[in-house]
Amino acid sequence: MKNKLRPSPAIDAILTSQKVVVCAGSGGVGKTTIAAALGVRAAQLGLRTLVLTVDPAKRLATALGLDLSDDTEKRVPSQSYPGELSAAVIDSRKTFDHFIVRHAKDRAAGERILRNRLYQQLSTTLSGSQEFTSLERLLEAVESQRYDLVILDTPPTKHAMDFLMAPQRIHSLFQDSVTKWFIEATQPGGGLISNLVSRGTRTVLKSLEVLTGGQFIEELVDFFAAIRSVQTSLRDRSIAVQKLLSGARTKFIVVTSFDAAKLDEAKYLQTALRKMGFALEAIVINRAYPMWLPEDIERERIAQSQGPEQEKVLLFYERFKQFHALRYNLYEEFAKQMRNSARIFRVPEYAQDVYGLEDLESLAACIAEGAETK
Amino acid sequence: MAWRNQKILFVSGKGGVGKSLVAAAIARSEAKRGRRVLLAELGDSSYYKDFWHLAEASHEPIPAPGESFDVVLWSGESCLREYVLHYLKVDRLYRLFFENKVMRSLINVAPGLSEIALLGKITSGIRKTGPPLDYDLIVVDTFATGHAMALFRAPKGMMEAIRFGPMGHQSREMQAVLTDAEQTGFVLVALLEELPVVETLEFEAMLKSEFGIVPDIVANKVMPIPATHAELTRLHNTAQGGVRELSGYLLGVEARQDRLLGELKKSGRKPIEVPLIFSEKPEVLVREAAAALADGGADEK
Repeated sequence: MKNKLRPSPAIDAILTSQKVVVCAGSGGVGKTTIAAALGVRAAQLGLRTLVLTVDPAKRLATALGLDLSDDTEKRVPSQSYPGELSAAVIDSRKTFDHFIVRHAKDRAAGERILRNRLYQQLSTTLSGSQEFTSLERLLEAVESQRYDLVILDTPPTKHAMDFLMAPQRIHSLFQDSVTKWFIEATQPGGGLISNLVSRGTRTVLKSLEVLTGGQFIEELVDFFAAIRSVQTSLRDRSIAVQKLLSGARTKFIVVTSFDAAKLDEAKYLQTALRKMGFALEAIVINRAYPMWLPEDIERERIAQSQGPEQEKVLLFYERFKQFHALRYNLYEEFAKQMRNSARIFRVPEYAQDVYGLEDLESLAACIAEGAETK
Repeated sequence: MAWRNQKILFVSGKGGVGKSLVAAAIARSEAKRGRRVLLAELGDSSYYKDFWHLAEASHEPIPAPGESFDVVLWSGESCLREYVLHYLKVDRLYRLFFENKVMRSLINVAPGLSEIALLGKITSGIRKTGPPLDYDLIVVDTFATGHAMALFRAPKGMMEAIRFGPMGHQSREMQAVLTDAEQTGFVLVALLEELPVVETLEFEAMLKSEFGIVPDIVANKVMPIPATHAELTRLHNTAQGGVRELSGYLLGVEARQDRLLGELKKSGRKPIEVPLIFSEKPEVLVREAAAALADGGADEK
């Protein structure tokens, strides 16, 4: 860092006063890059910062010194910040396995789960499992007390809301009553009372067997029996995560990009966050305008002519500017509606991908400067 | 572009690349050829509901406004419901199924169950099972890459886990439809940016190695470069100020796009380019994207 850091109260206050910053938003908006840039900024401000990423682009991973097959937390190489920047990629499968091994009542029980075929599929494909594991990873990082700030990049979901629903979903999925029911209902000769209670549900199971075949049911029963041993931990961790996310030192930043559908989704997400009692602090609109859009190109056209190719380029410029103006109207409307809810930061579109830490530094400076002044 | 007269087309790609728009554009261009087309979205919530300001997106097809094809939203649950009702034929049982808390979590947990239900519905016409679907082509706006891979792998996984019974049998049928290139096509949508291109190539490799499927690739939102490389270079060297900046920017975009198009070509197929369309109007977007797909297909032949 050769240049002195220009202070930006808007973004710096968010970073320095929190323990956790969650970057939420739907897929394809550049969430991971924004999370990394915020991490750089925090380290510049003197914080020991961890950025937990889900699916970084190769160049971004390289910039952060990450090896995609290794999910441990590592110090980002060749940095000279007052604080310290670390990063890690979340490996959903490994985190889930680790969780099972740590919380199973003994080794045999843990291994039984890891071997179950349904578990093997569930730990990566069940809707919510990726979200669950990234939140588990977040919780572990916060509990380790090695960092002043942990920035979480959330997994790509079609709808950002899925992420927020995940802990509850996983929790209710494995609620004790459900698992217990399942095991009892399938146990032969499970006592008079359980026979009476579960007659209806037995019919359901019977029909399910007709539809799917007996083997399927066997696998399921085995899975539920095994998962029971980690039930309490699953519940406790879900509650702990919920507490952390709604706590006073966790803030959400919604990352969105500059088109009608994405802005609509950000609006929706903002309302949902409010309703669920999470603190939305800022909205970052990525690729809000092209870096190059020069305002005074008109005058130059008159001042000097460069022949037909200049005409072609200027025609393109006209069309692009019109398109930009159209989208700018959408943005203004969005900003007006969000005025009382969150700070808005606009980040320009770069022609280049992120190549190194310096690119992240300038992106961070851009976010800082892009604060809307009210 | 004539999608080889297949009956099912799956459109997928990384989140945020414009899958839904490309799927709608394909539906439009195929409907223009006189085919009866259904555009199906998968999942619990609808993109097209906001896009076309539909009153409701539901399990039953409705006409897409201003277009000559229908649109429908299929979720794992709605398909499973229909499937169960169709086979059990007993309303009481069916209610027992879906109003039961345990059953609901079971449906959520059971890996592959909702994927199987979705694929079951999509392929039901070809397999001649279940309620009839009166369409020549179903264009499926599929999930993003990761989930879409899980969707396509579901029948195989189910076949291996369950060899006997109706589930095993139906999974084998679905697998046969998925891997029959005469009946089923795959379209992967990418943007000319690093991550989407990498993801597309991974998806493409997976389809090839696990299913023997060769997908079509669409490069979406390609920035139209208004002048030739030589012209832009000259302008960049001689002009001043904004024009110089702009031509420099365009040269940069051109280089990136060419490089990433080259990457996509490694799949062995020429990507079909859909330009960045300077509009936010649904009808303009679908119309122009459909026209670009038609052109792209023409020079491929």
